[in-house]
Amino acid sequence: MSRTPSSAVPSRVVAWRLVRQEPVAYAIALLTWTTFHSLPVLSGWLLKVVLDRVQGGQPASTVWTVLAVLAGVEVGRWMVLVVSAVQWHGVWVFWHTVLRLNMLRSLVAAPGPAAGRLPGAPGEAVSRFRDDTKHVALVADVWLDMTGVSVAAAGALVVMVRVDPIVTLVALLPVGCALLLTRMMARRLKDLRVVEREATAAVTGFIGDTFAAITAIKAAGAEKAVEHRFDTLGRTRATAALRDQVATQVLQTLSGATGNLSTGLALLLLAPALAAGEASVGDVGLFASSAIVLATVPRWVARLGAYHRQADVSVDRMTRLLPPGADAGTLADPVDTALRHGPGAFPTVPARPLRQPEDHLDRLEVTGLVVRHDDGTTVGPVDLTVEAGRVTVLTGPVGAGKTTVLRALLGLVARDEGEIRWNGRLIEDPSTVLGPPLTAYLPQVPRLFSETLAETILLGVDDEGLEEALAVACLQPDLARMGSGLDTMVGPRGVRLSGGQIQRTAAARAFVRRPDLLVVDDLSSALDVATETQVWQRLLDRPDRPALLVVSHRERVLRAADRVVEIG
Amino acid sequence: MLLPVAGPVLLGSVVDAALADRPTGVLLRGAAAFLAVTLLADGLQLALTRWSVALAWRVGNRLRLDLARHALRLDLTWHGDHSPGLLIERIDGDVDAIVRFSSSAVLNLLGNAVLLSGTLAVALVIEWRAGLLIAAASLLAVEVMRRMRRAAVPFYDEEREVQASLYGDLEERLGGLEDVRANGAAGYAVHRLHESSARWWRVARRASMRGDGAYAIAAAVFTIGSVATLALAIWLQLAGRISLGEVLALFRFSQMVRQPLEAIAEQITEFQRAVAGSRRAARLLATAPDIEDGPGAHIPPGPLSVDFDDVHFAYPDEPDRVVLAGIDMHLPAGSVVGVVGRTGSGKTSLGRLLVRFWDVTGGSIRLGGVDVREPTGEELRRRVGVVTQEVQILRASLRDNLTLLGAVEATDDQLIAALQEVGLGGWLAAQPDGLDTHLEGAGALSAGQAQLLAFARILLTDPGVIVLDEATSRLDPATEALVTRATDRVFAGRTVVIIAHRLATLDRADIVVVIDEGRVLEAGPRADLARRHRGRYAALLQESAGVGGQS
Repeated sequence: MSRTPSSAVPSRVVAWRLVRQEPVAYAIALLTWTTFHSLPVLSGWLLKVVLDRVQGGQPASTVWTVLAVLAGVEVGRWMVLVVSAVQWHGVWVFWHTVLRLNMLRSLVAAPGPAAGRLPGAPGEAVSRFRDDTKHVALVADVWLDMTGVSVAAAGALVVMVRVDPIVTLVALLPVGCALLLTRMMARRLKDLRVVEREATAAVTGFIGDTFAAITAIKAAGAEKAVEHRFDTLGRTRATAALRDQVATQVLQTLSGATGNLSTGLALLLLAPALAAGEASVGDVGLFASSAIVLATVPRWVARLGAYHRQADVSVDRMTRLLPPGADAGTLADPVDTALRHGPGAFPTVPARPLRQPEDHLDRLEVTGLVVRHDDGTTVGPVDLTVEAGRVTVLTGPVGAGKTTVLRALLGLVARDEGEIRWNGRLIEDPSTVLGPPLTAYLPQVPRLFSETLAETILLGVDDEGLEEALAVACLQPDLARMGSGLDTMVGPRGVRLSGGQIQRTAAARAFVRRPDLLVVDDLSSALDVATETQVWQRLLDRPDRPALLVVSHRERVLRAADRVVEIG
Repeated sequence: MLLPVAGPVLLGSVVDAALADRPTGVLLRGAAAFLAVTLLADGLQLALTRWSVALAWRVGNRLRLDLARHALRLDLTWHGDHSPGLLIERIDGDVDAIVRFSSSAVLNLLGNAVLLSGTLAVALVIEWRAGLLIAAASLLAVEVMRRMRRAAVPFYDEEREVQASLYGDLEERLGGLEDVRANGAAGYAVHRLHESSARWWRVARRASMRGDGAYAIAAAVFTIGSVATLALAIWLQLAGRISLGEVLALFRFSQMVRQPLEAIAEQITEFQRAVAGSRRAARLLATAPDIEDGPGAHIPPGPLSVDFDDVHFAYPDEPDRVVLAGIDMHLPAGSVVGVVGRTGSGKTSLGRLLVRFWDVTGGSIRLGGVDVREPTGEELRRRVGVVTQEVQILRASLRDNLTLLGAVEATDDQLIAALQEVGLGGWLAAQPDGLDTHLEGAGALSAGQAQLLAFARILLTDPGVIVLDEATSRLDPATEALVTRATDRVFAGRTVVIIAHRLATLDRADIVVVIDEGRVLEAGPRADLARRHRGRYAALLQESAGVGGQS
């Protein structure tokens, strides 16, 4: 896999594009969070007013009034928090959703084969959608806090300078030092974070893999071995995480220490002035409360940097899900999420795409198709032709690459050479053209999804022709036996169905799309002889049957073939 | 942890000393002491954090391992309801929430509890009325938070559930990406993500309203207490009972008690998530496997006889649908038996019952005379080898795939010999990394190669019975010939149960059993059945010839 960090898009670009999509919501969040962060400065100033009046022996009634205002400001601050938090959660989900939708869209629909873009384990792919999106959202989020904290710090500075510019300068020293130290630690922090992320991905990937292969593991009694491996991966991860978390904590402590140092230094300088009557007790209180506000700045600056670096890694990882050469900025392309309108209010699934009359298959020609695998083996060159309503059979020994030929034709893997012509028209990228309604594909090992039988067959298309598809796939007797019929839940990957039922459900899924060309990779492998005969008979007997491109080595199929292509 | 308490006391005393015109040296010493004390406190805090994070990871990883171990032992019905993506959330995501809480918030809770009591004690010494007020306000705030927090937990629970199903769905679609693309289901997959994101939007805001609302109300209560303390202290100062420095110290104290609260509250989301996570973890651990390990009887060595005595069976989640309705079948040790029947006739269940993926609902199954419920699961699965149609390939090295991550002990020479015996020797030689070749999951091998790999696994584990469940159905004739050669070696000295819908694969069978609707329709030596007039097997043979079996 090629990695090109030099051309990588920084996460701030992606985050900024996210922010711009809902500017009003962001402005509201900015306003509420800034208010929340800044109110302590006002409280600190009110406190000084109270203490000064007490020290100055002013009438008690004016003291009580200011105290009441102080109480109001403090309570108000918490009410602001509730409003901010609820509103912010909406924006937070929105950022995630935009990134996720763009990634998923690209994987399922962008030109070119998607297979090579996914990391090996689906579990690891999920972490792109779960953790990496979060890291980018955190960047947009940390800007909110950074703005709030900066405004508050500026306010605190103004108040402090008005009291005593020299003391203010001295109190700022520790804050400056903390900032510097933070910057120095940044690089190391990033390295630690990367190691930790990789160790975590190894653990989640392993869990996903293991439970996807649970039958094999149980059948072999390999539970103990799995536990052992899991334990080892966990230990590696714990070591990495410990380093990462302790380093983060060092930065946090630094920030706390800064506040206390500032207060202490201010006290050192103010004490003689206090004795001389040049400073008031209120001034000491003010410096103490302002120091707390200022001390948060290095911590947020540290987070700002850390979140950006973390998100840079994430953007890089997410970009690898996009087609080669795609701009990372497209991760944050505008999406009409309509989140606030609740489930059911979304852009619905597009209806069956229309097929132009001139697209109806007349003749599909493949010439000189070659696929080179990474391990150096080569499939092809293969020539084949399929005509409307006719049957072309692809045969050859195991490992000859029959499945690869079908997948390359459909654009599921990249082809290295060869031309594909649909009715004579050259098809450069079959992945965007050769799908329903022109073609449908029945893979050798079909994957069903965890939903009802009807949903996993239709996958979003209307149920026109469903009965017919069920009939051709010989699924009706099975349906009658299932308690809930078409509403039966098939379980993850269809595990609740038998192997034959999975194959025929996938067949129905292909038939219901009414393609011009049906590509079948060894339909019969999971079916008993009688059922297989029935399926073939029903399919071949249809007057409007699609053209068939079939991988098979069965005599029955070979007899029905108009063309036989042997490879390998 | 008590060190921070000294801060405000020193602060107050410096102020008082200054106001009382004490010499500058005293003032400077006080201020320096303030600095030293706070820095020391920070250092200690850091050391404590390191220790607690290490502890949290140890405990967390143990919990992960417990959860994984438990989930591995749950039966396939349960796994049918729980996708791998969901299990990542259960085993890792939930524990992550627990660990994050325990590594930071537990420390905060503990440290802050000590800090809290210390602060209150010192405040009480300075002025008992002010100290009591601070204590009362803290108690009230904590109680408010406790109540509201409890009300918020179900909402956090809901949020995590919604997220888990979102990730579970994504994991499936990504795993079946080619099926999605080739069936034009892109829009549908995107639509589903849309829907679950909208659900997340709703529950996230609802959970925030409750959780953050709880925090804000408690913090507001606290703030009022803090301002009231200041008012009381000022009133006392005006009455001449305490000094101005003490007013400042008391107010700092009243705020300092808030810091622990804020620290706790900053973790409140984590806490609520941790509670929700540990609930689900507890629920997972409480899920009992339907199959209990046997007491540990030993299965005799060598080829094993297989006896089905009046076996009844229905899947636990569909008790009304009878799969097997009284199967009687007695297979001598060392025989090769073909079980035929239509899809759904129950023949696959036979094989799964042999390795106790499920238990019979009536009757019994014996291996070498021992009921399969008697030996431990480990022993049973060592003595029964299963090859299914879809061989599951792990994303791991070839070696790990052969030994299933080391479950089978074998030297490299044995591994290579096994591969050569099943006819994968040539393929192995072409792999530059040999046994260390990394297999990228199911796509790494062709279906035929995967089958041969499964045969190699059998050779290595050396079971007394093997079940071939539609094992060779995906192979083309050339590979099948290769496999047939391998079977000579694989079948030797073992009882073999071939579950097949392709009669051609039964050439090696001595005995044939025909099953339909969960009952034995016909059983006997293959040659006899093939000749039997109007026999079911004979009819199947004819049907098969009509379709064109293997030549």
